[in-house]
Amino acid sequence: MIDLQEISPFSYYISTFMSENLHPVFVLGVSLVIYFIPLFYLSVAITTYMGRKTAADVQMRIGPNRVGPFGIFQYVADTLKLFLKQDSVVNNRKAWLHLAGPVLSIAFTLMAFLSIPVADQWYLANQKWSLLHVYLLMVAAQLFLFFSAYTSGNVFGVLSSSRILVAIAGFSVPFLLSIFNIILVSGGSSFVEVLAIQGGAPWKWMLFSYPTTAISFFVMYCSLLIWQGAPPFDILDSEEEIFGGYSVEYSGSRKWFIEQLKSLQLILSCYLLTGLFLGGGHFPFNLETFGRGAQAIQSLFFSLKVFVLVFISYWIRWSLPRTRLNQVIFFSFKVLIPVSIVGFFLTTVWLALFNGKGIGNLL
Amino acid sequence: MSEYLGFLKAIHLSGKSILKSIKTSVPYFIGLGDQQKEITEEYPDRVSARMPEDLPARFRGILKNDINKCSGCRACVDICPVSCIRIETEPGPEKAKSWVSVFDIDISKCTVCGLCAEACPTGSLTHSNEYEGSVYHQQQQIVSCGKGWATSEMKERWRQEQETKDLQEKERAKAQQSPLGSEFKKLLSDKKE
Amino acid sequence: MSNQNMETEETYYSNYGPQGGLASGPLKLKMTLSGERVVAAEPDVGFLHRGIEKTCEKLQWVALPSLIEKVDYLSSIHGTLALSLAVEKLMKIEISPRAQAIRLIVSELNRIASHIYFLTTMAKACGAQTASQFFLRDREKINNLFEMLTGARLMYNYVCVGGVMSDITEGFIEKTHDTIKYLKPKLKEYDDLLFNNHIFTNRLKKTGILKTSDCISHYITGPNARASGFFYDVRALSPYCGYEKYKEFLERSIKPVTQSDSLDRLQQRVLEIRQSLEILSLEIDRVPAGTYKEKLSKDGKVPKGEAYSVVESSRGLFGVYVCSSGGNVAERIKLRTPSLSLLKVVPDILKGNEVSDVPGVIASLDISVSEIDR
Repeated sequence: MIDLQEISPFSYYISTFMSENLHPVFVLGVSLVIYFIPLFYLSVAITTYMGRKTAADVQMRIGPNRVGPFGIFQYVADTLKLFLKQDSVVNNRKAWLHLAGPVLSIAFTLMAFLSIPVADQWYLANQKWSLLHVYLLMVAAQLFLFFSAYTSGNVFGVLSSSRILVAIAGFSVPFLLSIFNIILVSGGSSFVEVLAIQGGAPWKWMLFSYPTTAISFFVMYCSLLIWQGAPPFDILDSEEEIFGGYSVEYSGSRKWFIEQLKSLQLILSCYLLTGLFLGGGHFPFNLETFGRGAQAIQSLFFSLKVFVLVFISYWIRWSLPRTRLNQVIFFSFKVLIPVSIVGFFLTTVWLALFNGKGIGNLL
Repeated sequence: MSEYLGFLKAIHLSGKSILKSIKTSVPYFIGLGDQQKEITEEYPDRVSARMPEDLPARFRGILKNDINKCSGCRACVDICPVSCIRIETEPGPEKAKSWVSVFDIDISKCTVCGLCAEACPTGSLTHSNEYEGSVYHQQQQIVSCGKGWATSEMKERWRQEQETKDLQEKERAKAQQSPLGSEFKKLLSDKKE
Repeated sequence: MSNQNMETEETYYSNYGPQGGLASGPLKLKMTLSGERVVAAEPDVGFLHRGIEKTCEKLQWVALPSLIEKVDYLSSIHGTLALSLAVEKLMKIEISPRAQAIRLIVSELNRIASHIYFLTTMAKACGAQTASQFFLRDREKINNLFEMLTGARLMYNYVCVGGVMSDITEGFIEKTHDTIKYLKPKLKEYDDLLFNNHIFTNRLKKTGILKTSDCISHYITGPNARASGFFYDVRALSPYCGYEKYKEFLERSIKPVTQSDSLDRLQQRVLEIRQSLEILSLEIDRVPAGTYKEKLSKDGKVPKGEAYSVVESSRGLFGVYVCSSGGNVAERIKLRTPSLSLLKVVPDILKGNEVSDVPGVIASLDISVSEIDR
């Protein structure tokens, strides 16, 4: 018997409140508005706008400035345009996989958001092994992308599908090694436990607590770049080399799904990094006076950190040339894995020497 | 061992070049200096776009013809590589100059190469500074500089003007031809008196 | 993926289509791939054929440069220069020194503009979009210079039979000095950004090998050949328009190598931008006085005969053969363009490379499809 109150007090509170006081249809609508639209649409709108504006900034252009003041409604215009276009379907037996690919990919990516606590007790799932659970969801997301690439029915999709497999293989081992590093340090393997040992001030974050977790931050960041297929590792669908790869056969609303997927994967990577290394939503100062409002402030602080990380990701994205496939494999297997193994070993040495205390506790 | 050193050297070089590339994009974010500002011209808005007055004097824009100077010599028609000019002339009020009724330049065909403006002997065909030639129908893309076909009233008026001019010419020619004519007239007028 | 017995491995057919490719124009490559490795590639051209050589047979001699400049629109000055030299050979007229100096200045400017456009495609082929925007910004300065001098930004129609169409305007020399002063330090900045970037250079090394023997046997000229060790520069070997004084300067780019890869060709063109900037800065100050255009006969007729003249365009040796039958309309014009000789060697260059390398190799060869198809 699963006890909701134990797993997620926040969901318990909200669900009991709403089911006691509101009509079920209203409950559905409210939950759509509160949870679905901001996460699914608004966040992607903000990130794509930010991405286009930073690209324009580096390239001495202006970026979107027509739709709405300063171009903030650009994503609405893009959505409308894509939904009004003709929808094309491939002509082979496995067309259902091709059509289902992006949707299932988004579903698995969205499921990974459920386990990350944005504030104290603001999570929707708290399994014992939520770190590995998130890893499996990430692999599944890319796996459905592999299916959609393979059933595209043209050569470019097949080329792209092999590269997706390389991406899955290349991100797995470094990612898992850095997760093991974190588990070693924190003693627990769920997000809630990892966040419990971090604090609000920067020296209490996981990133600065131990010198070796900085190494695993770097390793996790690079492996997340490989997972997303983001520049400089954007080998999955590069326009010049394989003419769009898996995304070349999609048009209309399914292309919108692909764009959503990319932004959601970027946001998920930044969520993981903030939750695991940058202290999550913990606020440096005491928030007892706000009561329930303290958690809202914590969630805002969390989003601020995610925002900064997304900005840095875009900055790196527009400055670097693209790597080739063998360079990605070289980087992942010959650089990231040794570095993360060395970091793992150094963490054990540190923990043995200082008896499990971090820099924040020593000072 | 050398392979191991080469491996380390490759990592070192890649890291250094990544950091350098990321560093070069920093001034463009902050916007220091002149060169890091935006260079886009927001064209339909005329906020920062160049207006036709800002263009250099030699800019080859859409053609225009000063029809009063045009002599209808058809030098531009002969030289044009795409045959975009159409000229029709007919006799006009003056004998030496023809009446240019139709002078159509088809802007959709013109490549603004500048050969017709070079070839024009009177300098009536020139390039303006206009560059906006988008219209909704292709018939609107013909620039008509001609004076229009001469109507029958105009032709009648010219004929009458030409007759009076001819008469005046005849009298003047007569007066100039006979050298004694003026003296003879004087003698006659003196005799009358 | 083993490299042994490539012929017995299973291969499949793929297309590097006419749209979306990075050559300067629609170029179709029919590639046979095995895994991600190219086994064979066959180029298919003809998508940009406009019948230029036939259309030239109905235009007057004075109007011909306006059509020939559209053959290779990125180096249009060189095309019109070759034509004008050929027709002037037939007419047996001497060009004034001022017109020759202006022609030299303008052709070097056009070479710099064409090479900067090459850098743009090269950066885009390897995924560095920011760098390609920087290069385009620099090319704008040269376009503005041309706009001030000729009135147009790409199809100048400036070099004509007898000289040039118009004289140098007032602020042109000062603005050229400013542009040279702006471009020289920019090339050093781009060294950091792109040319010495390890990821970028590692991608291009050892891909797209072009051998010297292939250059000699297929008569490939231009920066591709000079990077591969076959020094053929028309400006040094059979000078025209005042290039005699720069013969030793140009011969400094002789290299004792037997083959070149994509990175060598890129660096050769950057070196040539530097050379052109040097020549420009020397020439722009000593333009002699005189007329800019000789007076031609009024009827526009060219005496009977045939003539051929060559010019070093930014891609290689550009030749124009002119045959006249005494009228004011040409009888036959034939063009020899440098990119057409490259097409025979492209299958050999691409063999053994991976699919990720194909855009980089094609961009580094600087193929202009409008030149091939005419």
